[in-house]
Amino acid sequence: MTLNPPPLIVFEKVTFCYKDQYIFRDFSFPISTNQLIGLIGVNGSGKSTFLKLILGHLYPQKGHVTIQGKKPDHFSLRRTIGAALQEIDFPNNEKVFEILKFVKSQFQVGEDLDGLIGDFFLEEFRNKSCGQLSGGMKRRLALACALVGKPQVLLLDEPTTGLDLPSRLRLMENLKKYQQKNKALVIMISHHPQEILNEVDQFFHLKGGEIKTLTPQEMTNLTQLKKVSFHSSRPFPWPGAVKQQQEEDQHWVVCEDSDQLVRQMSQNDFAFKNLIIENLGTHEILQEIL
Amino acid sequence: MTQLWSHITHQLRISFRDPAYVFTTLVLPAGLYWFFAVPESNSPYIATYLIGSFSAFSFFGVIFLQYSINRSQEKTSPWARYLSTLPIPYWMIIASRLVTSVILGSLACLLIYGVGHSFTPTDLNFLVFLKMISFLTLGGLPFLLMGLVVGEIFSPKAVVPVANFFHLVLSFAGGLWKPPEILPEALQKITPWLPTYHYGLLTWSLSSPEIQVKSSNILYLIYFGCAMGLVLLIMKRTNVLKN
Repeated sequence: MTLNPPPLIVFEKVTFCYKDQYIFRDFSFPISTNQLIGLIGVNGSGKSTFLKLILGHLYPQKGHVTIQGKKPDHFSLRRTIGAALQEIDFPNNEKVFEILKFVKSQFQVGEDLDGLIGDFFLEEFRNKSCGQLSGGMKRRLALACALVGKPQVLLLDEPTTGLDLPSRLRLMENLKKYQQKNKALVIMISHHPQEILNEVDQFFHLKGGEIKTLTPQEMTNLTQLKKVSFHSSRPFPWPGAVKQQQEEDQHWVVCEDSDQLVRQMSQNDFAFKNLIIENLGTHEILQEIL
Repeated sequence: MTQLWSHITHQLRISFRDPAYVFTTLVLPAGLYWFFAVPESNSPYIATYLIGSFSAFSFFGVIFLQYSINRSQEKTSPWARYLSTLPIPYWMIIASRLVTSVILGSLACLLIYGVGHSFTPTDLNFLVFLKMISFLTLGGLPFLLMGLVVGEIFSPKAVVPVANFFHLVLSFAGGLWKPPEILPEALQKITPWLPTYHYGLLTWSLSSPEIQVKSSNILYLIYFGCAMGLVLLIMKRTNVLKN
């Protein structure tokens, strides 16, 4: 008989609000280790708050968050958690290698610095002052810093912001490799779920203080949805629609197979004009569909 | 120990690579001493007295400004936010800043000492100078705590002028620029109650055995206790001392 390991992070009846705006109310959620999670949601849905509650940078007004059974601000957990926060900056007159060496000196064990410098394309900048780095380079350095202490829990707030496409792809590859090698829990906030589909084990979608989990396949299906808009004075109820809306003569239909919809409209002699078929944007998926 | 050392070297690198900081912390006090005190140093006693005063002024500045400005900036700085995710106890940050301040303050005093020995008839020997540095280090602890209080209360934008104001006013009113006896009469009444006056006394006692610092020790303990109480009270709210 095999027993499931206890969850690594537990949110238990957590209530958190900023002034009058509730982000979480009586929210309970367990998170197991050894997985890469994409945390998604529209702006203001509480993604950064979620990470800050795990980091112990914010405290719930009610309930509690625990990591390995301890409160997040327990000092020993700092050896377990690595983080790259949304806002990053480094002392301008410290060099890239000095920063990494300094961070590594805070841990008893750590990743090989030369390896990290290679993994994050920092070779040519290793002796540059942080003040000379662009936003993207600083982001890469922040990610390298987050991995230096070989953390068991890695929390990344929009790690791909400011990175070019090759860097984003390489980052995701490296993160997946790290997660699998160390059986770590990686939670990363992303505004581009399509870009991380191949690497994440599941998505956490935050909306209205609740989390809905999605498999990468479910997310793939959502990203393939089409939005069909047209003008017509008559209603056109379509059973295959994921979502359908009409405002005066303007119609919107979100569906999996837009070709079939248009065929059906033609076959039924349905009069319409200004037909536009487009892919559904990430924001619309998160806001309207999920 | 490696962890503490890496913090100290990190802070020293940041300080020494900032020309404006090096100028205002190390060069400026020696320049002020040369400009204002050297012409007044007519006798060995006065020369040594003024080396003590200006050393106290610069040491106080290094400690007080370092703690107030850094503490205020780290409330909003992303780098400080990141450091709070690392396994670094907060006492280590305080301790590394103290060591850095002592190193920088000692260098600033060494420059003043060098100028004094080159241009004045001072009889302050190097061993007594080292004793003075140790007095200034121990006597500087209340200023460390006061710096933390100021840094905790004021925003990063306000803290630089506020801390400089305190530094300059307390230095002047405490008799670190001009001997307390020649300060305006109204000011002379409050001077003995200021921590900077007692800080100066620590160094002046080295130039004249007649100057006693026993009463200063008691007042220092009171300043230290009050400042510590305030620091604990304010920082308890922000959970800084939890680690």
